Amino acid sequence: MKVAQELRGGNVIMISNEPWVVVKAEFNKSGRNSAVMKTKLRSLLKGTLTESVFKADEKFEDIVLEKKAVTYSYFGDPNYVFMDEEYNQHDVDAETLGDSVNFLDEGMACEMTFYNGRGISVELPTTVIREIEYTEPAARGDTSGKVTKTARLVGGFEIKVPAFCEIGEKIEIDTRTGEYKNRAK
Amino acid sequence: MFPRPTAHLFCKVVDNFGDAGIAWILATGLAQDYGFEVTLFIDDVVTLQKLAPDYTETENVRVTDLGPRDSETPNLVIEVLAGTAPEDYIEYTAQHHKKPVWMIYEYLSAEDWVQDFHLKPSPHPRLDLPRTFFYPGFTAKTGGLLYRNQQKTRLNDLENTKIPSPPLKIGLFSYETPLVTRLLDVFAANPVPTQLNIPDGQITLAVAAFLGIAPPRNTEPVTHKSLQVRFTPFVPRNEFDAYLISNDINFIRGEESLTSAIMAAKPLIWHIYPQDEAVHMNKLAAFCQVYTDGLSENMAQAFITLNQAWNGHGDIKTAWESYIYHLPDLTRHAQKFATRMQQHGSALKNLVDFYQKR
Repeated sequence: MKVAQELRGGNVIMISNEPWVVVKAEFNKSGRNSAVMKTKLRSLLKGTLTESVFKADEKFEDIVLEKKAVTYSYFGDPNYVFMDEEYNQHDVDAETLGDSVNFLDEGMACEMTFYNGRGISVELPTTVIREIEYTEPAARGDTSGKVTKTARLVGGFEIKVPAFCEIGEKIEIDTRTGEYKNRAK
Repeated sequence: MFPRPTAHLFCKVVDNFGDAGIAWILATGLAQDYGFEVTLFIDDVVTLQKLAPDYTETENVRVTDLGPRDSETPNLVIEVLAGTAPEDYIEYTAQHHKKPVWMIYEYLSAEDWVQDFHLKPSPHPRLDLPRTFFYPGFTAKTGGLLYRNQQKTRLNDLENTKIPSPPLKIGLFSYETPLVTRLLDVFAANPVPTQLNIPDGQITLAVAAFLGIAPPRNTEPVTHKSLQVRFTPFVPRNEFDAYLISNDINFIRGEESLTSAIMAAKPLIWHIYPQDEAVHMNKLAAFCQVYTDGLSENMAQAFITLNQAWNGHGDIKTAWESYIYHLPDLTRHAQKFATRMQQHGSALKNLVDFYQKR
């Protein structure tokens, strides 16, 4: 069983006896230390996309599917091409990868999940390191009260970072959530 | 004559009065403004009784701490904040051929993400039971603020529009905080006479200690320098709007009081519910950004700075002085903001509109 808070891109869950792959999962803290998840889901039977919201503690039946170790090879527009250990190529579209496209590096070791012989999701290493290309400087006497600010990473992806982060800093990002983890060591 | 549509509301009282307060506004609003027959299932009737002493006499609203019977399937179900329907109720309802419109009523926030979550479906993982998230909020892309029709009409009361004159009447309703004594020091040192109205609650003992008196047993005012303090009994829900309107400035706490203070159209300072990892400060910043839209930079900063200081970030004395300097403009702005919020429709109306379209 998985709770909604644990859902990540690539997970496959059952909803009303139908299998759905999580394309994207967005976590937000609600009131009183509770949380909610917005998920973009694709039906494995029909291929349709939908967006749904769940309380973070909602329970889902987790489906175990075949998984293989793959490496990212290249972008063959419009798909991203991965290769398994037997040198078979497997294509995955951008929609399936979701925000993971922002963290792919050539040769990156990943894990691909298959349903009916088709790659339906790719799990990246949990942490990648990226450099901050631009962010507002941390102003002394900032009275806005905010503890985070927006930063654009090399490659164009934008995330929230602590107010103390500066341009040029290398930071660790959790690829499962797309969120800042730490300054890179 | 058509039968009244029925609604079941589920409320869990986690702490304080906010859960019960919001559930009560939903229940009475649905019953008295929109013609529903409402049953409110609440696990703490004692808290509701303090908030609404007349709850047993409220027409078309039944309150119980017992679970629903199997035979009952309403037209509308609302799980309010932390409240959830019992598992056997969910199972039974999912099997019924005519399922209710099932709403999950969430916490109020001014953060942008709320707009993307509002009215999104939330299918039950195992059962054939469609559910929908409903987010109250401050924009047209959310459900709007939760208020009753009578709170809206008070905005037309001309008495509300007067700019404050001495003595300055301030309502102080907050969570327990060590900052209350600092605030009282600031009020007492203010050359403008201040009348502080404190309903019985979490800060009563701290204020009494500051004044050097025993916990108040009556409502005789106590004077300290330029500050006069009036301790009042706990203010039930049906008297709370009048309490807010009677003050020139309102310090309020939590979500339900914030909404009521906005609709009272008086300047306010919000003690937000503290959360882990200081997440509440982002929520406070988002609210301040929405509220100060349309104000000059100096006035906006005065509002933001005092709200931050009251929530533990900044100096209360300098923040208060700046806020008071801009009080006439903040008073006019409070009117405008309340009027602007009305344009989105109330959360009650928007929820009922959604129900009627399903």
